Amino acid sequence: MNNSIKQTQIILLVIIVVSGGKFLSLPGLMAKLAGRDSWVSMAIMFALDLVSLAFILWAVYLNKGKSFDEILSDTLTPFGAKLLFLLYALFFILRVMGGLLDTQELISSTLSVVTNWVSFVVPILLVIGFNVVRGARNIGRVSQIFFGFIFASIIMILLLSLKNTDFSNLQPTFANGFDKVAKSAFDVSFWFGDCVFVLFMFGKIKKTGNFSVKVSLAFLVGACTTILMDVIFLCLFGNLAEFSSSALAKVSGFNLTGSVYGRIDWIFVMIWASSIIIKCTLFLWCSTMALSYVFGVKSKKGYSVLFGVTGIAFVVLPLILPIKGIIANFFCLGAGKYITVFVQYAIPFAMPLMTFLSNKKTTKDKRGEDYA
Amino acid sequence: MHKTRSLKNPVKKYAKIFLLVVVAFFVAWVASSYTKSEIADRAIVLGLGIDMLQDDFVVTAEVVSPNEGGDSGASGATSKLLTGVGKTLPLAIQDIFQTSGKNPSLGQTGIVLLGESMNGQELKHILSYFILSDAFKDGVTLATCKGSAKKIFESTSPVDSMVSFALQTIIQKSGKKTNSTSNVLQNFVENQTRHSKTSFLSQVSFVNDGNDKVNKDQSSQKKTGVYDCSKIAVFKDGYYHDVLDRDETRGFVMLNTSKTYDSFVVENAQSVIGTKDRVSVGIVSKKVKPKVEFDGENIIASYDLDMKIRRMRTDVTGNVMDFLPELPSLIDEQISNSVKEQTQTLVQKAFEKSKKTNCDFFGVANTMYKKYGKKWDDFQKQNPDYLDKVTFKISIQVHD
Repeated sequence: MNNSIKQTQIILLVIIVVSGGKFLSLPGLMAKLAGRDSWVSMAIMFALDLVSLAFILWAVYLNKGKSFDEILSDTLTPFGAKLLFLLYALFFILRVMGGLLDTQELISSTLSVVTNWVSFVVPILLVIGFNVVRGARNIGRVSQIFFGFIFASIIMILLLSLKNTDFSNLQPTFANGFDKVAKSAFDVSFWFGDCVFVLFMFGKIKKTGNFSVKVSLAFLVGACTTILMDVIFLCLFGNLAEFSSSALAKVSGFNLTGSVYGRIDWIFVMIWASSIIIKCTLFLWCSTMALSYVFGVKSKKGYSVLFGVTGIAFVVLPLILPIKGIIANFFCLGAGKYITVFVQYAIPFAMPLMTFLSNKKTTKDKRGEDYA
Repeated sequence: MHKTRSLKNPVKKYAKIFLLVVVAFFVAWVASSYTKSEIADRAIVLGLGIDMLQDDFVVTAEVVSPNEGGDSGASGATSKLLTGVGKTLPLAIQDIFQTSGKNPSLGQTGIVLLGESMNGQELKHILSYFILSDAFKDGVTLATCKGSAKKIFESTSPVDSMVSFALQTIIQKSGKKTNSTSNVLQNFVENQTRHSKTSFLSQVSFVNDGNDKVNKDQSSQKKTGVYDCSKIAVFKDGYYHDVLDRDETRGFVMLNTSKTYDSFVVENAQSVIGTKDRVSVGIVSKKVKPKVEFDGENIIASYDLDMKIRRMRTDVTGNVMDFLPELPSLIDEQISNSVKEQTQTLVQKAFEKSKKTNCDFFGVANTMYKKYGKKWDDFQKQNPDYLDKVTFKISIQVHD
């Protein structure tokens, strides 16, 4: 698996991953929890993500070519590292599962394409699996090819909607108090913390000048676009926002009142949907890497087997378990968020320290070897 | 070595064939898992009319169907009317499918017309059926009509035989030039959930011109005429409430949007050629600044209306033009004052109607809530008839 990745590819991936998937059911869910102030909840989570990303980038700066598993094994013992990787695998798999379930709903509701889960997810998993086995660089290249189209479609959707947006509809701010806004931010934390994927790129990033600044700016671009979309969605749909299952389909279709454009919004929505596939590919690559550390797999065949097992779980689990309900009730509103918050935020915040300790240990070991 | 290769090759060959067969079956299985929706089986709905017949919903859909002939429209396309009846709106739409065999495709719907019989129905709940759909355009034009919506769809306009397109053009596009206003489905329902609980819709009336159109096969005769959309119907708490007359509508539209055109007649004005004559002037652009605030226990709702007017000329069609070159003034003080007075009268009529019918179509409560939040919530709970405490004020500036 070729895991080396260019700085530009990381930057594009950050923009795609930060906004990808957040225009589906999340704005509606947040509107249900925090009403018209839900964009503030989103901004709070993005601010937290930015701080978390800053810590990850700090660790990248301190890192002396070690991979994520090496740093964790050095500092948390190999057993602790494996336990942590299991949590990461669970987090990434659940995020992708939730995203794909939302996407299936989006496609069946907007295009009236009715199909079963298996037929929907198997072709997508085959495409994702091909990219996952070929490695991170492949995902980076895909992001380079698709980025322009994805970003242009988002801009078009935003521009089409801006003229009818009455921003005063966001007032009054904090009508139900700030506590509710803060609580709802924490309740949807499962859908944030996307930049943890950078941890899995440790030791494989080809850095050039101003890496941290450029990645942070890329994050801000992704975050601002997502917040703007949420704001427009709230301004256009007001009290009805909470009943929407897909913010993007709603916002993009709102302004097409005439028949001149037909349903041009569907073209933009479908182009944008490719960002979900890229995000899913990246997250499933991370989960495959995490599982490979747990099971000590290092060959392409091994990765294929691990992805195959994950793929079977993907196909089967939503058929026998109410995955969306589990995500919403346990990982968003229930105790499950404390598990995911650990891998989403606690580890990134501790990364500079762990990288520093790992570096120190290597120096000590090297000195020991030299002395011997 | 040669022998080994000849032994292995057939195995590889069969393995490849087996793989191809598996892939072919897989592709065929995936393709067959998607529900087929042939274009020929679909009826693409351009407009929907909703009426009540006793306890049943009657839905009239103007459709285009790819394999169906019909009356040729202005664009060369063909349209037909399909009707469905049901106890609920979804059942009535489903009935179209059951009785015609065509699957109604609602994603292209441009207008929803509510018949007069819908006036007693709770519309917020009924229309939420469309709002909850991701495929249905939330920005679709919504209007009400005098009489039955079915009758309107059965009529035709001399310039556009497709009623859906004709109505959309009049309400949505020409509305800005003809002092009628439009509303969209999502805004209508959403406004009913806000503090003012009031929405408005253009009311369509069909005026028969007597030149009724007979179909080629002599099977039916379509009434030909024009659609008058110069009145507005207001809705409160999800129910039809009242209709504003022509002057009240003009006064309301004057303050409702900055993009709507209107014209005025001024008597005994100085004409271009130097004589005293009757002249017509039109609004080129206008800005409305509402200011709503508490005044002790009362509420002051004041509006600053700034209008730029010009004499109407043969090339003035009522387009709202934001950027106009400066021209020598043809608007004297008399014309300005006359327009100001006429506007004052129209707006006052709309204010009076709002208070008289206790219907907050100016959205006073919405603005107050934006400004005062919980304080307004408490006030509105204590004063459900808060419009009694509102004093409307208007300040008009007219210039060229």
